[in-house]
Amino acid sequence: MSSVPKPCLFLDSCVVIAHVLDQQEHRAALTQLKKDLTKHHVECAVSNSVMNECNTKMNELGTFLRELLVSLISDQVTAKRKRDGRLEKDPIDSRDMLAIEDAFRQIYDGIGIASVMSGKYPMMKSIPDLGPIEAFIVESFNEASGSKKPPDPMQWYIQLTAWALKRVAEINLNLDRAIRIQHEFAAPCPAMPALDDITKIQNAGLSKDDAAHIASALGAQRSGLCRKAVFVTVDYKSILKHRSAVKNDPQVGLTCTMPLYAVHHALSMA
Amino acid sequence: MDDHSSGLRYGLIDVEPFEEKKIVKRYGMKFVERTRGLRPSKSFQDYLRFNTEEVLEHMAIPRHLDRATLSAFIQEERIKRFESDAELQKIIEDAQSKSKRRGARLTTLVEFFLERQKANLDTIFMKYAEASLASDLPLRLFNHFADFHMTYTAALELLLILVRKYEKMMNLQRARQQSATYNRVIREMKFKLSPIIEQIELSSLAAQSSIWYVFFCNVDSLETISEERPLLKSKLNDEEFERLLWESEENSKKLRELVMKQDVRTFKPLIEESDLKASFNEVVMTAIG
Repeated sequence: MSSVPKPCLFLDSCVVIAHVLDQQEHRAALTQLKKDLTKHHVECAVSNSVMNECNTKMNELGTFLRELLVSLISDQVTAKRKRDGRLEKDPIDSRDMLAIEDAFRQIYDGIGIASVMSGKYPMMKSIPDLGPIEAFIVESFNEASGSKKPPDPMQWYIQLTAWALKRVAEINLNLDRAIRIQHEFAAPCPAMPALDDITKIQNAGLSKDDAAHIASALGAQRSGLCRKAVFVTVDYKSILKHRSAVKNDPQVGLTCTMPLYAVHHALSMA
Repeated sequence: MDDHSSGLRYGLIDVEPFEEKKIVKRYGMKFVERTRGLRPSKSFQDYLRFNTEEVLEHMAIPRHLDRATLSAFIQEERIKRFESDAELQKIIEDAQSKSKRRGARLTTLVEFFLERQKANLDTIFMKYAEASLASDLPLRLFNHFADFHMTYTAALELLLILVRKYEKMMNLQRARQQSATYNRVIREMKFKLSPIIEQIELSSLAAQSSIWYVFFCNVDSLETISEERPLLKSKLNDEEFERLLWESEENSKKLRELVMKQDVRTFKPLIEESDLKASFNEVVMTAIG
């Protein structure tokens, strides 16, 4: 951040992740935000709490993939093959796809929840929508089973895991470019959140983590690291839903907004 | 047991300038022909022995294995592998050769390591995937190795850009005729390359130590080393494993910072754009967004 305090946008982790994944849903808004940042020379930052959340989420991604591939899918496919009297080395075909369908149906029907609760697939219970995961697994399965030499299940898991390792490495690289090393999108801001502020923002209806992100932006503004802070998020279900409460709290008074309008909030307050 | 970076330092930094004078007869007159160049300061076999000792020095040796026997075993295996690797041998011979054009030797050396790394990337990732599926080790380890290989490949790309630039400078008429100019170019090249190669070596060393530690802790004896086995976390000392992994992550991060600061274009995508990639991004958003 520069020596003369300017207005500054503080990004939420969901904005950073939407950027590094080039997520279609938010692409237009983020493109506009980047144009606005360049045009108006407004600074963009991430707090320590957001940086830590991004790192934690990337680590969780690995655990989630292993649970999904190794435990859930392979457990079901292996079990069905045993029941059908098929060999482990037989190439994958539609019968294995039905085992995958069963695996997802068990979770949807709540049968799998027992396993989730017993700790077998702890990540799965926190996933709000399994649709995209199911679609990805089916797409990957179709690609593998439709190849000239379809793999056996173990070869498929290996191919898929290797592919996922590469993709996660690419996402990590994008995160390094965006915020961790090159700061192409935003630079880290060392401001610390005040516990009082976290509590007040929690009282407005936000989770402790989200409150810490917003309180960090407030801390940067209070300590003079920036003239005015604006918090930018695409979290419509939680943060943006409670933005009036956060803004109207006289001791907080911080603007939370979506990427499209963020720079204009910063400029109008400056 | 080996990694593909062995030899980079050997070929690029541990080099000594040499000058040879030869009396040649042309047009009935005697001329002094000078050949200037660079050659590695010790044999590649010595380099492998030294590197093995360095990696082992860096990690705790599992109690059930004898350090000296393990070291001798690994050295022998690596030298055997090198001696059966005709391509690598040829490159190393070229690096030691006096006849080949100066500068070109270095470019060929880096090109070789880069091409080999690129050709091996798929196999490397498949091996890590296989190991991760057959082990209970934290996925952080495998994600780190994936990051390391991506960074290492980018570092080689950067080295190639730099070495090509200095090769051109070494081949300028002035540098070919004046040893002072030639030596200045070499000094400049070493100055520019040293920090990158140092960090490549530190990162490779740390990554090798982590891999060797996990592997040798899971080996019962050197006699059964080639048997396939799952890699189990219970066989490791948690503290030592964490220390090695942390050091490896930190060194890899420093290398990435170094490379990114010089030329970010050296990082290339590992997988092509596809529908599957787009679907995967949706999965990631669902899981962590």
